[in-house]
Amino acid sequence: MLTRDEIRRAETYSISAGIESSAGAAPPACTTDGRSITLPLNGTESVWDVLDAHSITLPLGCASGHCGSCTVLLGDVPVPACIVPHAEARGRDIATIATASEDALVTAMMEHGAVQCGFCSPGIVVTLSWLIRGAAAEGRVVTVDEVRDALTGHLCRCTGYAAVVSAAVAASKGFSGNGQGIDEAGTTA
Amino acid sequence: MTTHLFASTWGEAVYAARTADSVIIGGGTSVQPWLTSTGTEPSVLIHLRDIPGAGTIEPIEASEGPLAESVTRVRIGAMARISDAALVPWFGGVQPSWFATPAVRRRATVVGNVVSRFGPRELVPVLAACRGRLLVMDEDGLRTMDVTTVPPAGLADGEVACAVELHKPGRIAFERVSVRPSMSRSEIAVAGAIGRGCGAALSGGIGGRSMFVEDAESSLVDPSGAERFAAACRRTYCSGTEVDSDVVRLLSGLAERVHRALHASKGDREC
Repeated sequence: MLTRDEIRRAETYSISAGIESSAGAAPPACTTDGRSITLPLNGTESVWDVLDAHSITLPLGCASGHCGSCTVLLGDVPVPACIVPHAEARGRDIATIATASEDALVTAMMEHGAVQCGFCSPGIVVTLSWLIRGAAAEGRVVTVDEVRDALTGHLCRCTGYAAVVSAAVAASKGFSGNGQGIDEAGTTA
Repeated sequence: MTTHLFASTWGEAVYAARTADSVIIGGGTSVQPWLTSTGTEPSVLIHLRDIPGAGTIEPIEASEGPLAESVTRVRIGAMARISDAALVPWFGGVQPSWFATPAVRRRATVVGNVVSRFGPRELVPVLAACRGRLLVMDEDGLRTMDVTTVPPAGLADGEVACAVELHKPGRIAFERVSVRPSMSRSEIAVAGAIGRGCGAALSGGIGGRSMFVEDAESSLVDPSGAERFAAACRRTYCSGTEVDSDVVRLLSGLAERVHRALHASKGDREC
């Protein structure tokens, strides 16, 4: 990574090179839920701000990455949209709950009573859908511990977490082959 | 109006960082909330993500660089994420689950935490126990500094943190006092590591500076050296300017737990 050539380049770097590297390019953009969105060239807005300006409104709780309500997939990785500078989304794919959710999880959350006011639900659904898909890709079911760990950073102040955990494990069982050989804790036998 | 520069070389980043109110973005997990909450508009945000190799974690070959001592050292690039599986041995065989949230750990960078001026540098005690050295580049070239000596206000204008170099511990343990097990800042923390070049470090307050524990190596290696190790931690803490007797008591307890963990028969502390 850090080579002697790089060190030498730092010593000989000229002002024109830095400015030209960011000038004259096409307007920056990202893809959100399958549609292209133009990003600002300048400014300090977060990804959440930009999505909101394009009428893609996500819940915004803490604006500091702790509550998880605005979680989206950025490059297929869950992240609170409020802590990502908009420029970091350039050329990337963003998926909100509109395209990142698994129907099986949404259904299971309703069946398990895992939703009340619903403010935190979009972020939870995005994260747990991603977790369930990842486990399914490995041919297994999510464990209770995995779900609880994934929920760290998703604050819910009305439902609590037990129903969400059971809904996620149930949905994962359905997602990964009807739960055959899976015990109550969601681990494979 | 804030402009964005995606540096493609360290040289570009260094040059742009000479602008007085520039801000460097690694993961951005602390920077963006600061921008949002304060309305600050730096003249330029310097993104490091496009610098080739900035996210790599690699062993340091013996013949490479002035810092290299053996292949038991590793270099963590400025864009390496805290959740990177390659770093698990440095956190006692697991991810640092006490640090923020899983989503933040997948985005935040190790080097960013070391130089952050926006929040507690929670990783520094662990890195310092592995004798972490920060590689800093400026227009004069490359230099290194102890991870515990980064000024609270961060690096100076024109300086860019490129990487952290660490020794790989044979065993490592970290204990802390906090309100909750996770998503809660360390109030007091002690890290101890056994292995070539390793030692111990502590932090004695929220946002407080981490300190390398001098003369801790022999007591760390000695299975019966718990009290000596605790005494070394107390001496180090008390060498600071402000001493809190409650902190001294808690540090002793944490130090003994760290020592016990390092010498426990369980294999989960092996790196």
